[in-house]
Amino acid sequence: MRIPMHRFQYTKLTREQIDEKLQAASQGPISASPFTTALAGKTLRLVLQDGPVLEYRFGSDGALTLREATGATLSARYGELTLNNMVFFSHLLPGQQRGFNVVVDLGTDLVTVFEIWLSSGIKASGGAPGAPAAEYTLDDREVQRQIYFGYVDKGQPAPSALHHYTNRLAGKGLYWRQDNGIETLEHYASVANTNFVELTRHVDNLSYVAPSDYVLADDRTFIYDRTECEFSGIHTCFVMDLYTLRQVGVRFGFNEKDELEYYLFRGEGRVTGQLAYLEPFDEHGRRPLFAAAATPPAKGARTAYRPVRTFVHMTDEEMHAAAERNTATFAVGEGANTDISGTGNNLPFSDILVGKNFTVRLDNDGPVRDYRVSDKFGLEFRDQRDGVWHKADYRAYEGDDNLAWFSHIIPGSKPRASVQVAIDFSNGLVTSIESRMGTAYYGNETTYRALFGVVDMPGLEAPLYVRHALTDELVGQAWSWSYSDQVTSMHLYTSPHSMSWTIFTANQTFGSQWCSPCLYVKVRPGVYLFCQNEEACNGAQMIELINTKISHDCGFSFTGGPRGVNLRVVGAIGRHIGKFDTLGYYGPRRRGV
Amino acid sequence: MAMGSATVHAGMVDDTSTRDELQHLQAERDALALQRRYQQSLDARDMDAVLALFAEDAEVHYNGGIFRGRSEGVSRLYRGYFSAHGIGAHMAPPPGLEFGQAAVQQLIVAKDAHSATLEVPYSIQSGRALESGNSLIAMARLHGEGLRLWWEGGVLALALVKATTGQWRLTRVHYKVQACADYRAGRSWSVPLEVPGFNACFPRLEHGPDRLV
Repeated sequence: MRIPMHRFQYTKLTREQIDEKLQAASQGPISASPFTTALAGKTLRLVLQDGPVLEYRFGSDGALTLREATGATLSARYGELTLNNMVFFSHLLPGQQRGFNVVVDLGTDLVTVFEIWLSSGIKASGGAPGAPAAEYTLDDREVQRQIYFGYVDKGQPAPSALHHYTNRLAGKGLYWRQDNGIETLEHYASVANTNFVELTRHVDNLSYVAPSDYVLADDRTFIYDRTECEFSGIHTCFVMDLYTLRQVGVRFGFNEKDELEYYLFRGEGRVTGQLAYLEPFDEHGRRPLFAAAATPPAKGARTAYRPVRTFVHMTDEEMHAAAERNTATFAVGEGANTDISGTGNNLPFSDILVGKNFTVRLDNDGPVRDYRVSDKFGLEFRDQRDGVWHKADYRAYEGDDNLAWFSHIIPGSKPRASVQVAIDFSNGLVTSIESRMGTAYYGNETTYRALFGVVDMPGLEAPLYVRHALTDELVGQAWSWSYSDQVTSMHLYTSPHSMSWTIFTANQTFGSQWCSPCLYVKVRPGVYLFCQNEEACNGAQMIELINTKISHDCGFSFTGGPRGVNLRVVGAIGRHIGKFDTLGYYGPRRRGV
Repeated sequence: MAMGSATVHAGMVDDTSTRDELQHLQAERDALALQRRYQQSLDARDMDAVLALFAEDAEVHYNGGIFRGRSEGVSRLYRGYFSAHGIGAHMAPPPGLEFGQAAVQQLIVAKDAHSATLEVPYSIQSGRALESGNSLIAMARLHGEGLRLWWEGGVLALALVKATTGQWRLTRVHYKVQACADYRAGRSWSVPLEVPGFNACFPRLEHGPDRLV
């Protein structure tokens, strides 16, 4: 698959279509590894905290019967795989679009049960505070889950401790290879999400984010799930043993081709790293991540970021008309966005360009721009293709010694454009991030590209061949960025072309998370340009210079919407949170390898 | 009657006078108990319990706005604004800030014991949603954050009336703010803060007041 998951137009499967497709699962899940038979011939009575009582009777031929609290006894086909003393089994209930994934610890008789279902009809809402909330219904194809903790009732007293939610996996990264050849990088950089990379299914190795649950069975054994909400809605659930780095689990749902995937798997893994997690030492993550509320979360509730649901679509023409009405730079001018949440910890502006006249010459027939700068906040430039001088407001930083990093709007551009330029006055190298409004999907999203070149200036001899270049040196690293004392986001530079960001809760637990494509440019040792577009989200672009030597970034954001175009400044204090050793998993692959 | 000045000298007054004084004492105790329940309910984020303490025609003065009617403006303030912005729970004043020590609790119960006023120092967490379309803020809101929080202290002025059930009900709550500070529990320092009041009313402001002061 080459279309990014958040660009893919997944079919809105109806309940009836799902009914029809689920008939293929009437014989239960499949598995590349042989099923185990630990439960064959047994009966289990599962007592679940705040949940139903499930009475199972397992046959010797992959059949089971289930009696729930309603009293009806249902027959189904199941698949089972064992891992140490854990038994994982999964089954659907015929005709109900519903089923269970069950983990039974034969050593302790503790169980974790995932009730799963489709066509939920769950309503959700979103939007900015103060504005009317947009209500929507979750897609029928999105697998829902409710987790219950309990025990196998053998007439003994109820155990005092059950499996429970945990933050013990927070910050851990794992590579998994399943018995069917599927390879995945999973970064558990949130207590409620996973930032994962499908190494097999997607050709670009972009990372995506899906809501997840993390459960502690014992100190070596964890139970995990993720549901690819806002994408295909498919659900992955497994038990992992971190001593031996093995997993058993299930994948259930509909893929991008609307095919039913319902299979059990075994897998083997490798720990790729561990990020520091910053919550208090007495915080064990026993409660799932929800906003405080007077009533408990509804069945199936999860904290899922669904930004595109409330993102207004604008055409290119609508966007340009808005840009013509208002293009605001650096919180100056009518309609400018004066939000300072991203600027409180910024680097100071610099006068490094003042008094300089120079030419930025970009390679491969890129733009050649002459600059005259006589002021800290205003400059003149002309593109040699038309020779017309323009005045523009700009802001510049000295991002590293004698390294200018500045931005300005291209006045009169259609679509509206801006440039973010790094000029190394020590060696004459230049990178220009050329940004404009519009993507193939939304007029109010931004597009960027990095152009490399040199600066011509008296007394400075730029190289003929040496250039800045795209880099993967940041891949695997995680940095928290505190834009102000109120706003901190952790960036995980997951893959060579994508990243995720995680918002901390009040006690600095890894919380909400989302992802985007991005690029990285190496400017100097320890100094990088980073650019991302929050596509299928809000279309905003962030273009930062990251100076790892001072753990600080500084830069710009470029956004557009009904109120026009905004070019603003953004900067933050950073902390290095850790690094995953994942670079070796990326790079072009030969088909079939 | 100022709190603490009521004294019953058993056997030295006639029965009517004694009964009146006992009624007064009981009224005082009940009024103070109501004020405690009010703060405990805010601490517990139980806005239903908070609202149950109000008379139907009550009003609340908060941050330069007046919220009217228990089921309308007052409900909007507590269920909407206070809930969404993490406001109202008790918070100890910042270290070194000698706040509240000089403020005197003052309770005056009318002679007929049907109305009363009570002024007590308050020290609470206050906050405001970060106003931003930024995705980081939107994501923080998912787990109940995206707020700027601070400490606020002042005098809480309450007016009470006896309901037909004989129980006190709040008719007026007025947060007379004296100081705000950028502070959170555990910090050894704080920074004084100027907090602008409401500048718009409901419905233009989703949880805004009915009227500006």
